[in-house]
Amino acid sequence: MFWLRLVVFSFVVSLLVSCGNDASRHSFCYWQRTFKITKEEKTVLKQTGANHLYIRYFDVDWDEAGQEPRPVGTLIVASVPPCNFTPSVFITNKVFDHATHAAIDSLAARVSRRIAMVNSRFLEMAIKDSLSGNKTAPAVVRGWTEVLFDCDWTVSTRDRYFYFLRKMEEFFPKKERSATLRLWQFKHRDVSGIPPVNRCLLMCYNLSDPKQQATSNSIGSVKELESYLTQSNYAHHLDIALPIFGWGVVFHRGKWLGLMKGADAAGFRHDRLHYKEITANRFMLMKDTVVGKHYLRYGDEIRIEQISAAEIEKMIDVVKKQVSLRGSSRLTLFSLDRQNVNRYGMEEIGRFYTLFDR
Amino acid sequence: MEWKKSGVFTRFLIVSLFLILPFYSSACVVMESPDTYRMMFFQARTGNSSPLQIFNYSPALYASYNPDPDGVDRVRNAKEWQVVTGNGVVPEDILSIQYETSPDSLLFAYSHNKLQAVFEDNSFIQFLLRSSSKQLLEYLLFSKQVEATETAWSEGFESWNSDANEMDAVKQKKLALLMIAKKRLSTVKDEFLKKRYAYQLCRLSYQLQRPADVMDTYERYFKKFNGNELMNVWSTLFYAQSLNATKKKAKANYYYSLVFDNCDSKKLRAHQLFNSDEATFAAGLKLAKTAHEKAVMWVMRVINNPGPVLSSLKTIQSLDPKSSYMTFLLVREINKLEDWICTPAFTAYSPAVSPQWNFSQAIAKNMKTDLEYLGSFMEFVKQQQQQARGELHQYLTLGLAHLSLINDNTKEGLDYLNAIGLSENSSIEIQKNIETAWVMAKTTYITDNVFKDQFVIYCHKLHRLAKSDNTINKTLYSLLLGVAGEYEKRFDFATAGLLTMKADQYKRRYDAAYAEDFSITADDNYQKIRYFDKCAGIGDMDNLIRLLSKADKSDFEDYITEQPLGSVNLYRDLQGTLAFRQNDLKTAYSIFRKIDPAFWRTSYAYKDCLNEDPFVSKVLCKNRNFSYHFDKAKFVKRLLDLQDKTHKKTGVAENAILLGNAYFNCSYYGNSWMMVEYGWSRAEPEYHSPTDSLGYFNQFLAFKLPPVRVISNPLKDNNYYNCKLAARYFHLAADDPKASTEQRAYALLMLHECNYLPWAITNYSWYDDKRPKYPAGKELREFYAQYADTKVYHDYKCPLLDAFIANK
Repeated sequence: MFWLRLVVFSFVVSLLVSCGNDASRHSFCYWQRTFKITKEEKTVLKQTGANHLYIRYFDVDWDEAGQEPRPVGTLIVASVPPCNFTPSVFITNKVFDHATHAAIDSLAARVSRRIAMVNSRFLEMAIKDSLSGNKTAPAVVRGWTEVLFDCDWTVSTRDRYFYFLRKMEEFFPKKERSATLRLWQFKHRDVSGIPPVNRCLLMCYNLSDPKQQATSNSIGSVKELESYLTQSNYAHHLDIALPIFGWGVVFHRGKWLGLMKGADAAGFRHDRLHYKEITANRFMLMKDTVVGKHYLRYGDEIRIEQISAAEIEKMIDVVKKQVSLRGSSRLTLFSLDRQNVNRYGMEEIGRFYTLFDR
Repeated sequence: MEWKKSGVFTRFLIVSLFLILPFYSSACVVMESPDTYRMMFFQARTGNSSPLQIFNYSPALYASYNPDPDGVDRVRNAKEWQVVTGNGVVPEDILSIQYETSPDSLLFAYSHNKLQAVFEDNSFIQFLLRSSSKQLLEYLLFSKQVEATETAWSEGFESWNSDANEMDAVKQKKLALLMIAKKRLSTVKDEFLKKRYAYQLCRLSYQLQRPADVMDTYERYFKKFNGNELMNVWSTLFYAQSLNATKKKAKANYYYSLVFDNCDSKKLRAHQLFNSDEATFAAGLKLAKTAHEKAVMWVMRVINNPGPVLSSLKTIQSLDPKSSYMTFLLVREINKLEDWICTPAFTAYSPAVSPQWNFSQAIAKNMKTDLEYLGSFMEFVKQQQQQARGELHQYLTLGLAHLSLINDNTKEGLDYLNAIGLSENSSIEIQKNIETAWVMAKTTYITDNVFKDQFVIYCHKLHRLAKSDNTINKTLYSLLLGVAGEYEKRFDFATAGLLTMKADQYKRRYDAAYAEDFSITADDNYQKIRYFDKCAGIGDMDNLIRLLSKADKSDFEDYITEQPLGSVNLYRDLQGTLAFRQNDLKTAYSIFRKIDPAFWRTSYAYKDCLNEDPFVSKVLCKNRNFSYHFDKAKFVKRLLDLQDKTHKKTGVAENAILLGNAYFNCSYYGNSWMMVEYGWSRAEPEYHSPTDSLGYFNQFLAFKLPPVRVISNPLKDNNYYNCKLAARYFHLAADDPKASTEQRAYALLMLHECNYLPWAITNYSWYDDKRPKYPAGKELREFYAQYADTKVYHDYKCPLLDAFIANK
């Protein structure tokens, strides 16, 4: 009986692990500080057909005082990923502005150790889960096949960042290494270079400067996206990231003040006590109000930036037409968050994946 | 399953601002935070306000101060120890062991039996080494072991070494210490030690996420709150956090307020954890046992509020008329009013892009609101002033004087000021000097030496004080900017400029204390002329140069020129440039000829950016030569000579082409743009917003520009971006009947460039491949149709020109 159970268990595990790369085409980015997947989030994954997560493990920033790269905001593990996932590490460009090759050698080792550290926390949690009946949890945790590095490298930091990526091959020889690719890096690859990895995640958002009052939507638009996708081929396998987030951009006394999380146009339109819509998605504050640490005044402007479902569908269409994708190319949505999901609804999000599959 | 959306009307409460970037650096500009350039004249303090400075009105700097700058809690702790050690142990020795000796060194010395030797001179350790003090020593070693487990994480950044094993080891260590604390707590008889172990147990239990244990320990060993016992207060913070963790938020709020009111080092933490939502606040308020306790909760609610809070101040006043927090809250309100009313008046204050609504109407409406609020607030302060006595009365009178001056009521301000006698509080005396200087600037003839002599005495005094009190740098910045404004009203832009630049120095000094990496990245030379580049006329530059060259400067002149300034030649160069911008070549020449030509080979960015022949068009130059020795005087003289020749109809085509090339090169697209501008950037607002007249640098820096002065710049308006003047000369050449075919072909080609380049830059996009196609103008068509045999045609015909011709 024990052997039979073992065979069945091994079969389930091998199925889970083997379907990792090919089946994990519908994805969300999970970019929160604590990994605690809720029942609602599990429902979202199930109903939208999402079967993969990019999980931000930690960031790396340059510590001026210590004159070395240091980790920031390491993921607090409070539950086990319910599906295949890709550990993701964001590294600020500043790190590669300062770090020497010798420092990058050490950074690569440290980053790999820290990824292992978060993995071990996941595994610890998964083993506990398996004792409570979730037998596949350890296999899911062990089953990751790819690691993502996210850095908005520039021409001046390119060589050092690519050196780092090459070093990572030594630490993850059996895993796929992927790197995020901004649209300008995709379009101007002759200048930006092509990162030495196995696959790239093309980030189709944050296309213009939110600090400019003249910007209409810094997150992006189909028209802007088209202007970047002028060449279809790329040296690596490409995955696609699209935005489902939104925010308010606040201008106080005519100057950029910051971003307002969780702002959406419909809410502002209803709240006529505080806002008047001047042009589409631009609101003028009608009543002096304290928001967080800031005293916003009559006349201040809030520009709501979000992308409609129809626009995202068009973006998918443009990407499919203008970029050479493979059968295993993945669509990920940034990011898995209650408000972002509510903005579109699960059915619509499911449709994004379906459109991408067609 | 559908998640429920948040209610619309609660939206405003739940949204939060994040990702605020106080400083934005790019290649040559710095974006300053509103906190950097805001005005602040009033900084007097009364009573013990230093533990509250963490709540100063500086939104960007909240929590960047030391929460217990005077070390009050440390001294309290040392004194509590001294009660058990007796006066034979000096508090300094206790402080040294508690706060200056690392756990490692103390525990190492103990484990190697070296405490006696290492701490030979420390009376505290010597006392603890007595056999009668065994339990006290055990506790001290225990507390150091607990302290050692706190160092695994540093703020913001994490440690690479804190891997899972290490974190687990720390957790295990804490667990072991918790067991020790429990055991000792059950056996130790001494009350002092009992409280200390109980505090450690609360601390460890909270850190190990055992809120029930915290509450149990607290209620068992401390029973009720006692603000006089430090261990009780510190444990209360863990107790409150545990209540909060178990959803008893209102009760947690009450205990947070007790901690806030009774302890300096935990004030900030208690405030950060305080639940300020309406329901929890109201429920917590009901738990307060006295009016004072209620007032403290109101204080916590408003002490970091950036908006007007007069109604809450009235509530606090009615609950606790002698609230020790009130004067601090009044200063915060004064600082807010300064920010709202004075900052817009003295710093750049306009949108980067004209908004769709009437922005000036919004400014006017806000000003009206703020002045009305100022009136109501003054009434409140007056009521308090009438009831106050002694120093508090002086202090409130001073506040009223200041508010009157903000309200531009100089007479009332002066009356209040005169009513204040000599104060023993140095902070009040300093503020009196500031107010007096401000009144003088508003009431006396500021160009008179009587004002200048007195003003500089105040400034020197404040300057000395600023070395030990950084907020005075902010005051000096505000004061000098205010006085500069008075000079501007009298059209003395030389003095106003020097005062504004000096104010900028104080602003940067103030800021440097909080943001060490903040630095102006623009070329320093430009900082030395920026104000004058934007505001000065030729006469102002004469006054400035005269002042800088003066041998026997007055104290006032010394003071305003004691700052990083450029050489006289730098200012003369600007003066010549101002004349050149007016297209007044004779004046420009008379100024430039006073400058040693070596200046343009060695100074500013001239060596790198003004080093080509200005009479050779950059756009058609195939082999550029950067070793040209540019001499602005010679250049302008040649322009004058060429203009003279064209007027006399001598060699019109040849000379007009040279003039056209020269003016083309003096445009944004040419090799001599530094004849007109001091910076060259694609990011200049003219490309994005032709209506913006403030200029590139002002878009990013809240650098004051006098509203009374608008300097015209014909060369910039009529040539720099649109090449109109250059085109006029090329037209002259093309239309000259004596022009050769080659000359005419060249003039037509350059006319095309004068049209195309401004078009291309306006329609430029880094990435947009679908930008409109340039339609060739008639000059290019004529060039193609009639001059295909010329050398010019063969030299410059190219696929790009072909494409233009092809576009219809």
